Amino acid sequence: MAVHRSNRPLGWLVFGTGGFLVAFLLPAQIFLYGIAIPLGLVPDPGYQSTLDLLRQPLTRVYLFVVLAFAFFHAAYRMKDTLADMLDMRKIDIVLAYLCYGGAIAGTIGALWLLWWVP
Amino acid sequence: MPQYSQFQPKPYRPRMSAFWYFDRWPFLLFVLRELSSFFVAYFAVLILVQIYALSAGPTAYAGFQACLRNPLMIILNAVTLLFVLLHAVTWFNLVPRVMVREVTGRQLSDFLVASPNYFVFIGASAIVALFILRIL
Repeated sequence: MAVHRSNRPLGWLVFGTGGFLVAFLLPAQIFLYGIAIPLGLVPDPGYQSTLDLLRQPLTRVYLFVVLAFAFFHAAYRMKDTLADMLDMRKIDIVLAYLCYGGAIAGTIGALWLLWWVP
Repeated sequence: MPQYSQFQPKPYRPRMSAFWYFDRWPFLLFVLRELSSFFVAYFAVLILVQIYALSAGPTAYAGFQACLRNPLMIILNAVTLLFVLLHAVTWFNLVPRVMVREVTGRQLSDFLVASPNYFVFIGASAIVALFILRIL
């Protein structure tokens, strides 16, 4: 008898790792860059200091890992959310191409931008 | 309708509203948690824009920062933070559901299994904040 093998665990591994990285690391970044610094709640480190941070290889590796996993984590969930909420389960293969295509584009974009930091 | 169809089995086709997630609070919470993915994707793209602006020079970065000071952007980012925190809390509380929880034959409480996540969260957030604020 043929055993049905699903390819979902492979996606889930990336989704799960992304889930932890997003949960642990993204809130601090959203709060500081998105709310606290624009509102002046904390002193703005300024352009040169932030660029110096971005120039460090460790920062770039960190950003690449977080961004790539965040994109794939989001794609995995967005596909299922769109299928469930908008009743599009019938075309979920199309949604999968769109969402994972977006995640691949985002990951390549991150690699490209981080590589060319002056 | 013909007479005989009375005895023929009819397939069971449950009708589900397109707004099924408003029926019950746990359904809504589930959908809100799943919607967090859109905000994760949005913020990841915003980080890409920030890296681009930083690479493009001081003028571009000043423009990026001015855009983030727009009240609408601050509201959007506050909503993003709430959604990502919802993701984080539901994710951490999921760990006791998927992990082996027996130590020396005793069942550990959900609280005990989930709590290390919160300590890691606080530690990781502090380290990220120290780097972003250029204290480290």
